[in-house]
Amino acid sequence: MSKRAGFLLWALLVGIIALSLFVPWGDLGALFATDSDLAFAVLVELRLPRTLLALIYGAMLAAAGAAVQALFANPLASPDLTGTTSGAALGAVVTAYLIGLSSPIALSIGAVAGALGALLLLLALAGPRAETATLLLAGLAISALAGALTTLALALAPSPFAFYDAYDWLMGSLVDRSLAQSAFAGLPAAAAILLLLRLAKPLDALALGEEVAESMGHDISRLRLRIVCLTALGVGACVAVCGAIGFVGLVAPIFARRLTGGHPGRAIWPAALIGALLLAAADLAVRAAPLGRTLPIGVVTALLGAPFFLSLVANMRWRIAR
Amino acid sequence: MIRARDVALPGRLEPLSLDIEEGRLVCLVGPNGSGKTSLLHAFAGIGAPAGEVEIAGVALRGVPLAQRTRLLSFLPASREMRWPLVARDVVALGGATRAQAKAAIDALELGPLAGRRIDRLSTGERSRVLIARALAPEPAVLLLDEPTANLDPLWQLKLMAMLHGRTAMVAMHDLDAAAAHADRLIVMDRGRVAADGPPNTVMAGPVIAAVFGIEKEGGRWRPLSPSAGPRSLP
Repeated sequence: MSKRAGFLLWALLVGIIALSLFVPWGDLGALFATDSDLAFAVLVELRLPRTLLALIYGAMLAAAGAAVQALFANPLASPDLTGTTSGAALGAVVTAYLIGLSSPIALSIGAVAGALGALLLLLALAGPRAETATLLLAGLAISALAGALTTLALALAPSPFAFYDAYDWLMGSLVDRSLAQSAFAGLPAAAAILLLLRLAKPLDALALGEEVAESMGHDISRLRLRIVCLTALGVGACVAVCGAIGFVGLVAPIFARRLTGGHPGRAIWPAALIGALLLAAADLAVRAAPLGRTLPIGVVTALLGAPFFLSLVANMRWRIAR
Repeated sequence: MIRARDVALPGRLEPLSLDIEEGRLVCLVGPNGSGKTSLLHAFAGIGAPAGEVEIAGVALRGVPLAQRTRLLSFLPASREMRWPLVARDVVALGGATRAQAKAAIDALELGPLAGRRIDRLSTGERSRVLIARALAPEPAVLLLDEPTANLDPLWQLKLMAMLHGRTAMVAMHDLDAAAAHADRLIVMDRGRVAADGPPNTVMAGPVIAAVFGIEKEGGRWRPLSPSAGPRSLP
């Protein structure tokens, strides 16, 4: 990544953080004039967690997407298309509504376990060297299965309001999360991102093929296992707090590789920045949209990301995606 | 330079021990599936081989990654890349310094192609890029799987000349080229070494006919079996 592109990304990120904290300004500005303590509380307890969650969740989805794409040598792999986020959602729903544990730590563990299960099932179904079509089909099957099981779990839940309760969260939402909840999602995700960044070199070597990467001393099975575990940990923790959000993990790495000359491994870092930017921007759009009510952010990313994905699929000469 | 003891890959390569002196160009020949690639894999540490390989007195197992790239380079038979990088970046991926990468690009005459994406090059051009990648870090030992495949005749000669005087193990199919360029010729058969020695001795012995089922007659290779070739025709 060139210095200029890096600088631009950071500048955009600072800009979007400022916007995310202070927009809409009208009521908050008025509040600062009358009761600055309350205004400060709104800033720290409402807007800060939401901004932090958007940044860390976006970065996590994108970093995991970049790593998974590099691992499978496949630009269409991402946490949502591989069924990871649906698996995490299933894990959290089962934990909360069937097992009846709804403490944040239990939800996180449930979601991480669900994500891990989905990824391991994907590896078992598609194999480590899956072709694009096999990988997407396996991911689709896992997503569909996890989605159906999630619905089943909600239908079987003792609480008659389970569907209603879970709806907002299932669609992906950053609204009304506390700082403590941000920490529950953010700390595991930040750790996962930092550890994924250390895999940049072996993932770049893997671009030369498994044999060459192995001859250079990289242990490919261990690399695969690390990526699966880190993705499950980070994405699972975020899903437990914010629900499933799609397409950021697909789109951000594709843009990031344009900045790294196509190098898949060293694209993890810019992908994380772009992912953070994208999700924070989507959240801004949710807040600024003059609809009179709040849209689930997962709907916005899907509305923006699905056409992009369709254009990739329609253009089956998918080299352009690299 | 290379010291291998009881190196094996289960089901592909039976345990073998070899010593290769510095600066020797060793050519590996053998029918399809005879274990040429497996031998290179085992020496390069691919696929969890059994046994011990030492290069320049350093045991490969557990050697730090940075040191490893100075000890050996492996070129796979496949000319496919998993990601379409620019040729210059591919050459740099093997752990070479900037100056080494540039030297390798110059040596393989890749200057005009250096800025092009590798998936948009011809197979032969791609081969040269991947060979440059393997040569660039100037490792003590080169393990090359069919480096001459896809190269035009001039480049085949240039490459073999480049390898002369380096410690290299090179798998190839062209028996005459192997015999002409090798300092030492190893014939593989069913996962074992069937013959190992100076090219002239090996080529003159009975092992070529036994392993490949061909023989040289009037300067041309022909199948051994009377029914399998034109020799049965009047």
